[in-house]
Amino acid sequence: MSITVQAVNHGIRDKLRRLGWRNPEWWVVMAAAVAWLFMAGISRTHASHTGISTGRDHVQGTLGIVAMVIAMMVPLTITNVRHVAQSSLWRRRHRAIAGFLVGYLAVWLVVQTIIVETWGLLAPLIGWGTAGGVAMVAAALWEIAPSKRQRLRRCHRTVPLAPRGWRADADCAHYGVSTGFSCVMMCWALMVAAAAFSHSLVVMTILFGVQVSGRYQRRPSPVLAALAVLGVCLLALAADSLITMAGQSHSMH
Amino acid sequence: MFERRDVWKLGSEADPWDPIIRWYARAITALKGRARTNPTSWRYLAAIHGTFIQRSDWPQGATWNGCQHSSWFFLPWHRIYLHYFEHIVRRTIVDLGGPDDWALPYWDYNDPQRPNARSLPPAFRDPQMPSGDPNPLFVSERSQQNPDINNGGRLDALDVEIGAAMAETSFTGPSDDGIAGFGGPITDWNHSGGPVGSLERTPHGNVHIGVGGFQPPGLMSRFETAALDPIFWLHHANIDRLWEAWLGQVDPDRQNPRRARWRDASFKVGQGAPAVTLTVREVLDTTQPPLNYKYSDVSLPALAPDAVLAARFDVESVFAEEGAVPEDEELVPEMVGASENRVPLAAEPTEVEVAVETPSGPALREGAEGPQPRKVYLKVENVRGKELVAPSYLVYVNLPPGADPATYEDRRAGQVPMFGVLEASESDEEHSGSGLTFSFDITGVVQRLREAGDWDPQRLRVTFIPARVGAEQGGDVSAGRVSLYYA
Repeated sequence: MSITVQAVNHGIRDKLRRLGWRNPEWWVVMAAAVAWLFMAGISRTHASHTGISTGRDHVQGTLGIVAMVIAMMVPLTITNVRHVAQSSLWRRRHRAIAGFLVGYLAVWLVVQTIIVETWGLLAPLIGWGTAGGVAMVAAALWEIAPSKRQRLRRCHRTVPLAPRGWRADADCAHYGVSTGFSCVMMCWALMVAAAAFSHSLVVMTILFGVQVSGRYQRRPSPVLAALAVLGVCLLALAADSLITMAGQSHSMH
Repeated sequence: MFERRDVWKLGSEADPWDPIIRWYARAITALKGRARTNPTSWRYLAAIHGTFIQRSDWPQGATWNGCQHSSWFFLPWHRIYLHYFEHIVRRTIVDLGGPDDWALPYWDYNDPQRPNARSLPPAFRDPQMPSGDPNPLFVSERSQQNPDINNGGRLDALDVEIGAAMAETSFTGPSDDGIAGFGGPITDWNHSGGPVGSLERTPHGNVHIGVGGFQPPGLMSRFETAALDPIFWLHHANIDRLWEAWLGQVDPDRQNPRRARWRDASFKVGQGAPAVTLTVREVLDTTQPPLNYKYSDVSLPALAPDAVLAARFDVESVFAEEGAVPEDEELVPEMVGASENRVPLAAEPTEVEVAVETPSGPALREGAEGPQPRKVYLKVENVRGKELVAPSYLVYVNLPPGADPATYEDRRAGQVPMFGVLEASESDEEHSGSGLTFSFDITGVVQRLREAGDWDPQRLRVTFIPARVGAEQGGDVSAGRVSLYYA
């Protein structure tokens, strides 16, 4: 009996080990999942707000930016992460992934911080509703822009990596940076929209879906993507207006 | 049942205008007369494969730039494409009063008993038809020297070599790690760029650039123009035939991928009424609807006597389980060494040394015979460039310095043809700019080197020799890296 159990355990262990060999990106996927859980948690504790915008709590704001980038952008790089791992010596493959992510996240954290800070400064000046509308239209237009389509394939680019030493680390980080720039050129408008409507996890989830579709679909439909962006942002604007009106009505009474 | 026949066995060199070829020419003339926006026109059909026309100028709903390369969809996509083309040509021939059983011929250029077959079939070389009318099968934008293809020049024997492709035992490589197998690597939809399958590499790529030339590249040398040359369709019919021939080999049995991700992939070719949307699963047996064709001959005389062919070709092996993955595809490759710098592919031979480490992952733990890997792969990665100086490069492993490569044929890993390199080096809507990657199963080469005492487990030397040189200098093609994988 115990021999059978041991054999089963051994079989499961072997399968898990092979799964890890074939999918070196497993911990990157888990990190993205944790980031989504973190954002969902913030969203729940702060009513309808994910806490990503700058404001009173800078620590929470920074954590929110980090979580948002890991949740929304890192899953788009799974093929790049696999390329880095498979192109590295076995003993270096997770280190190579880490190097790639350092470069990639560095680009996005800077860009996302600029987006959020700029949003925090500009939106109150021109009005949250107007700013949200501008962000929404810009994101929808960018989805159908030919220049976006021209850049789509660049995110899939692979590069040769040095096999060992500091050059290997530098190549991985550089590949992360260049992939990050390609992704920024593709997704900047959606990330502005995500920042503009960061009060809703639903908005971010749908925008994330648009990003994933654009990245991995055979022939992504720009019109459908633009309509999805417009639809979800309009719903968010409507929900925001209703909440505001309900709040005003409540205070009047 | 339609029968696709060898173009070199239709008619004779003195009188090559067999009715099958004559009707093909007449149909092409008719297709060329149709507007580009007509889905049955010559230019529209060619654009499905590739086009330089900007997307904003495409007809509404066009599925242009659709050809699949560097992908395990390379063979099924082109089979669907040829089916669509053949159907339109046949219908046109019927409309012109021709036979209703017309089938696309194939160009079998790799028969060692008929070296003439490496020349372009005569009906495709003459600018005029016997009637004195312009010959629609003739294209002037072809290789003009070495070989002068329109004047009967022959492709090099190495250009049409099928041994390496036919020796592959797995249709695709393990996972999506860039090792390609016979039919191409596991990918999603992929127009161009990335690792290239063995058959797509040679003879497919070599014949493209051998016919089209490379200084300057002719119609057959570019994805965007290849299908404008009438010989393109006969070349791809032969590639399709070689897929059948590969499957017909036994010991071990060759099998198509069994993954649903491959079998259920669907491709739409064309537009409007004649358009076809077919899954890979639907085109695996050519003798069944909707395809309904067979080849007059799927034997492989070029491989005799070593090739072991099945007495009867069965697409679905009764022993294979749906969804099961062949053993080769279960292997997990492990990189054990790579070059430190880019490797120029120039007019002169280039040599690169690779430091090799002892495997520490699956190749060590799962080696069937201790530390000996079951498979050894050589990869030439990210081959990029904008100007070619040679049509292809022969790749040798541990070739002694200064040695005559001809005396070390057993150390040849394969060839790196330049077809597709220019396209895959571009960074635009269709291309990532990664270039092409070539993987070679060199398990046999390494075994022979071991037996000869010339295998150093810590160091590998790889030599690239240009097959033909168009100019003494110039060209900017290079390989990003040369790497070694154990599995």
